[in-house]
Amino acid sequence: MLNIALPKGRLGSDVYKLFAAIGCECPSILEDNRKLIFTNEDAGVRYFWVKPVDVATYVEHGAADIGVVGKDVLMENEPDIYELLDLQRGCCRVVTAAPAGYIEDQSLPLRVATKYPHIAAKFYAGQNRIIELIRLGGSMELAPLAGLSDVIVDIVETGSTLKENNLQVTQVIATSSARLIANKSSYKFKGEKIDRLVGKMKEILK
Amino acid sequence: MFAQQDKLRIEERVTLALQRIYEQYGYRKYRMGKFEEYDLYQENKSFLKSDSIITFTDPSGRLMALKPDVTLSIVKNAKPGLRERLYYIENVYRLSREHHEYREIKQAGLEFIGGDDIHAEAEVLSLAARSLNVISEKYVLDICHVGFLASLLEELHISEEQKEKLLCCVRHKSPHELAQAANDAAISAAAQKSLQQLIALNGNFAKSLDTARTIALNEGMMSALDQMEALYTALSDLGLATGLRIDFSIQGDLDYYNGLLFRGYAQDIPGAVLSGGRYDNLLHRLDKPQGAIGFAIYLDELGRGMRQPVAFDVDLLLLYDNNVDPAQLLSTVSELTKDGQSVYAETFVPQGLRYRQMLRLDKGGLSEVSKC
Repeated sequence: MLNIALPKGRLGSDVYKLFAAIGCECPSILEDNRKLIFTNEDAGVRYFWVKPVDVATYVEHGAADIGVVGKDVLMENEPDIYELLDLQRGCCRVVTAAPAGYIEDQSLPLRVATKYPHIAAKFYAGQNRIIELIRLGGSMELAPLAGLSDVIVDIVETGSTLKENNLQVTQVIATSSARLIANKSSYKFKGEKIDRLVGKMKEILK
Repeated sequence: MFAQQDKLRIEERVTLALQRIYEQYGYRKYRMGKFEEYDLYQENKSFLKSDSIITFTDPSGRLMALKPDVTLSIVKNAKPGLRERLYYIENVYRLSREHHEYREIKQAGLEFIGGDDIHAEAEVLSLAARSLNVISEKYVLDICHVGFLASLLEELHISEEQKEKLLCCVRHKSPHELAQAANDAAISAAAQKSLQQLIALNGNFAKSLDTARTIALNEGMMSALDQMEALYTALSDLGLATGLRIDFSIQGDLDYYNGLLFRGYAQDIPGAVLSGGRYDNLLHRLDKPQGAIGFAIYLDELGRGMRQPVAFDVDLLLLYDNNVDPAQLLSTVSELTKDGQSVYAETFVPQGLRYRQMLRLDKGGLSEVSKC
């Protein structure tokens, strides 16, 4: 049995279709209900729906053998896992953004609002820029507008939310997309099965 | 029926078995105190798994630390040039990465100080395999040689930063990230192919070795593979090689490690349970001329994977009457425990106690009350 953690939401449903296409379908998953675990004994797979940021935790602790998670989450949490495949889905950029026309005062610590404190700290440390981190859970765009921060570090897909709030991308830190990850120990004991699955998925993604 | 032996927690059972194995091979138990001078750790920070150390000042003003590691202390106290076989079972103190809190972790380990030859390597590796076998019949012992990947990267003539990026991709067995990093560093297509082949190695030892031989660029890399093959052959003869695999995603700091590196995994335990290697460079840093090889076993990992559900606190609850003669009670309890059952004697039913069976003892003798 292979336990697979999928991120709840649009990306998860999209990625499930990939799994279904390579013979790991589990029709009950498409039923509209609140169940979180779906098993298909014949295909030897069990799916968990988990919060996107929790996927790596499930995999690192071995509750799931493999999972699908955004590169942004991997960069933030640096879990001890294998990252086996780029699924080319859920593409976005991790960026710094500021109000249009913002001019940085280099003499003061930069106030950075983000839900990616690790990525932000590492990025600015690499530039020797002293910052003050402000952790937020969501609606990052509001922070500079309300005077809470100078800039934000966040993920951007199309940039339309930024634009609507009169913010603009100032620097691109990294690009992100959904990645297939595996627990290290699971990969030792179920490696053939996982490699087969990854191989089939690669074919589809070509 | 529960025998007392079964009730030992897996860490305890494994600890006892490991101790027996190590002593059979002539390893002597090393004991140490809870703390060391902080300087020892400060000077060798990157040898430690976590760089957060609990420190305090002793009465004479020296900065002390609760030991985050045992190997450093063993090496510090090793007599220059001497060969010594040591093992330890100690608590170490580290910061847990996830929870940002200090944890006391039980660790077992073995060090062959002065074990410079391939014989020592074969012995230590075989003991690593035996240790894993104690934890689970299904185990994997990954090995690699740090020199192999280091030589490969050396030939590329790229910056340290680019090297670190490539190593990170290898560590995560991440082909797409590797392709990106290889392009950024503008390394040759052939070199990129070699690296991609290396991270894809998984499973059969002999096959992996053949692949690695096609990648080897120089004498040093070839001799690294010869060494791994010799160890594989030595362990095969003992029937210990079934779990042995080649995996170049294992990495160690070159300031400390040279030569062989290995990691052990057991089925149903999510993280590596064993980690070891040859660390001659650490000894040289601490002014000892000899080399050393050893490994540590993370006993705390065992509890994470192999949780056995607990159905009962005791096998028997013995309710006795106050009129019962104490000698009669004692002899009854002693009789009941003879076949390995646990017995809880009380005059009333304790709240929350889970028992398999309840017995009553009064002047008339023993009678059965209920069975769960």
